Amino acid sequence: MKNCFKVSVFFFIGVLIPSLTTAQLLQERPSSEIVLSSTEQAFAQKISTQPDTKTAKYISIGDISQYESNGILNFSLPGILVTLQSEAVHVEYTSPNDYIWSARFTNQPGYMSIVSKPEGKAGFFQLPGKFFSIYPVNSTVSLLKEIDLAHLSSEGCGWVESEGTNAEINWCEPEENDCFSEIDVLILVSSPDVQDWFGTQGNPWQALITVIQGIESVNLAFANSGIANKQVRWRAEQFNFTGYDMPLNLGNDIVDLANQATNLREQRQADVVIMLTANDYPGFAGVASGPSTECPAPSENCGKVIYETISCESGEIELVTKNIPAGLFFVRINSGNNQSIHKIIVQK
Amino acid sequence: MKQVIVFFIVSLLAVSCHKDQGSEFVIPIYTPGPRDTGWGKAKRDGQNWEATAFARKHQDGKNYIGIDLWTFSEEGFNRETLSLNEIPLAVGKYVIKGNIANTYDGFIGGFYSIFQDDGDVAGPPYDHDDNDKGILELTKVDTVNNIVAGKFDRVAFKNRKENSFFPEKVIFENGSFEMKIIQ
Repeated sequence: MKNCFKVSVFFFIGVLIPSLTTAQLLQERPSSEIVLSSTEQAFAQKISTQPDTKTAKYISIGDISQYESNGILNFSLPGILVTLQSEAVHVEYTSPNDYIWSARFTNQPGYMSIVSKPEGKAGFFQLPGKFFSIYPVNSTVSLLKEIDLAHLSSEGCGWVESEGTNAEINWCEPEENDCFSEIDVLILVSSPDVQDWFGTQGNPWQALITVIQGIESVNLAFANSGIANKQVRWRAEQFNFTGYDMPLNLGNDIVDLANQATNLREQRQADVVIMLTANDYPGFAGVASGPSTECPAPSENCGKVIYETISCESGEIELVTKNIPAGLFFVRINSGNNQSIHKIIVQK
Repeated sequence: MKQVIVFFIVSLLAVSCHKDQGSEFVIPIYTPGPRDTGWGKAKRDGQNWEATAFARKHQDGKNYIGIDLWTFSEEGFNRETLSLNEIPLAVGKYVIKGNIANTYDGFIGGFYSIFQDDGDVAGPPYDHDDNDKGILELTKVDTVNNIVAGKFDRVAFKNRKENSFFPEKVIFENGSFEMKIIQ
C-alpha cells in the first residue's frame, strides 16, 4: 500500500494539468444567491452565531486539480488580502468532487486542509493569528468561519500522570520510525440514534465529514513532522450497538463496544474502531479504551505505563508511548490554533 | 440533549502484558471535584474518599434512577466513576448485586471505572463482586426538588481483567450521599 500511495500522489501530480482561470478555488457566495432548506438555514445560523465566530461567509469550493500545479497551489481566501502559496504534503484524489488536499503554506507559516466529498466540503486554514474552519452546509455550499481566537480556552494538554520522559529516544528520527504503517480506522455509526440526530441537521453528512477532516489532520501532522511512512485510512458503516445502559454509562459501554465490535474489526482488518453515537453522556465528549487494560498474555513490559512525550517540529505532534512491546503510540495533535486535540492509537 | 456527538475510540489491539510482582498500581485518593450536583463519601479500601455525585432517571420513563459518584484529578480530569443503577425511586433498602447492564433483575447493579490521562482513557472494567453482600438505602426522595439521599455499605468490585496492572478488588464501605436528579 505504500507504493499505492506513492503512485496515487505521482499520478495526481503528473496527470492533472492546471488551468488558469479567473475563477477561484474558494469562491465567496453572496447570501442573496444561496438557496437553502430550512434545516440548512438553521445550521448556518447556528454556526454563524456561535460565540467564537468572528466572521462567517458562504463559499463554494472547486476542483483542486484545476488550480494546483505539481503540488503547488496559489489561491485567495475570502477575507485575506494576500495570495496564499502552498505546497501539498498529503493528497488523496479520486475525482473532481472527491479529494483530500493538505498542504503547508510557503509564503507564511501555517497549514491547510480541504476535504471534498460529494456530500459536502470541510477543512481548515491555519494562518498566523487566524484560524478558519469550513463547515459543509450542503453538497455545494459551505460556510467559511473565522474563529475568534480570543474565545478559545487557554488550557493546555494535561498528561498529568507522566512518570518521566525518555529523552534518549527521538521518535522523530527516521531510525526510530522505519516501519511503514497504514492505520485503518473503522468508523461505526450507531443506529438508529445517529440517524435520528442526522435527521435534525441541515447536512446529515456534516458530522461524518468533520470526522474525516479530523483524521486528515492526523495525516497532515505526520507529513509536517517528517513522518512520511505513517498514514491513517478510514471506512464507515452503520452499526447496531446494543449495549446502552439505563442510565447511560460510558465506562460500561466502551467495554461492551469492544466486545461487540471485535468480529467486525477483524473482518474489516481495522486497527482502530471509532463509534459515533448521538446519546448524551454527562461529563464526557468521548472515551478511549486504554491499551494498558488489555492483558491477554504475560510478557515482560506491561504494567509500567510509562508515558513518553516527544515533540516534533514546533510541538505540532506529540507522540506518547506506553511501555508496551507492540509499540503503541498515543498521538495527540494540536490542529492549528483552535487547540482541538485528536487522539488515535497507532501500531508502529 | 441530543446534539452532542460522542466519539468512542476503542483500541482493540492485542497487547501482551504482565503484572510485575509487587508493582501493582495503588489507586490514589483523587479530589472530589465541584460537588455542584451533590456529594458522596465513603471509605475506599480503608481510606476516606469523597466524590461529586448526581442521579439520573432511566430513559424508559420507569420510576428508577442510577447514581454516579465521580472523582477528578487536580486539573479536573475524570478519574473514577462509581455507578449504582436500577434504584427504585422510593425510600427503602435494596440489595446490590450484579452488573448495571442487568436491568430490572430486582437488584441494584454496580460498576466502577478508572480513567487515565486527561480523563478520556478508560481503565479496566470493575464488576460488582457478588460474593460480597452490599446494601443501599435511600433515606430521602424529594421528587419536587429532585433530590435523593441515602447510604450504602460494602460495595465490592472485582477487576474483570486478569493479570491487570490495576488492583484486583476495590471496596467501598460506610458510604453516604445526597445529590440532585439531573436528568
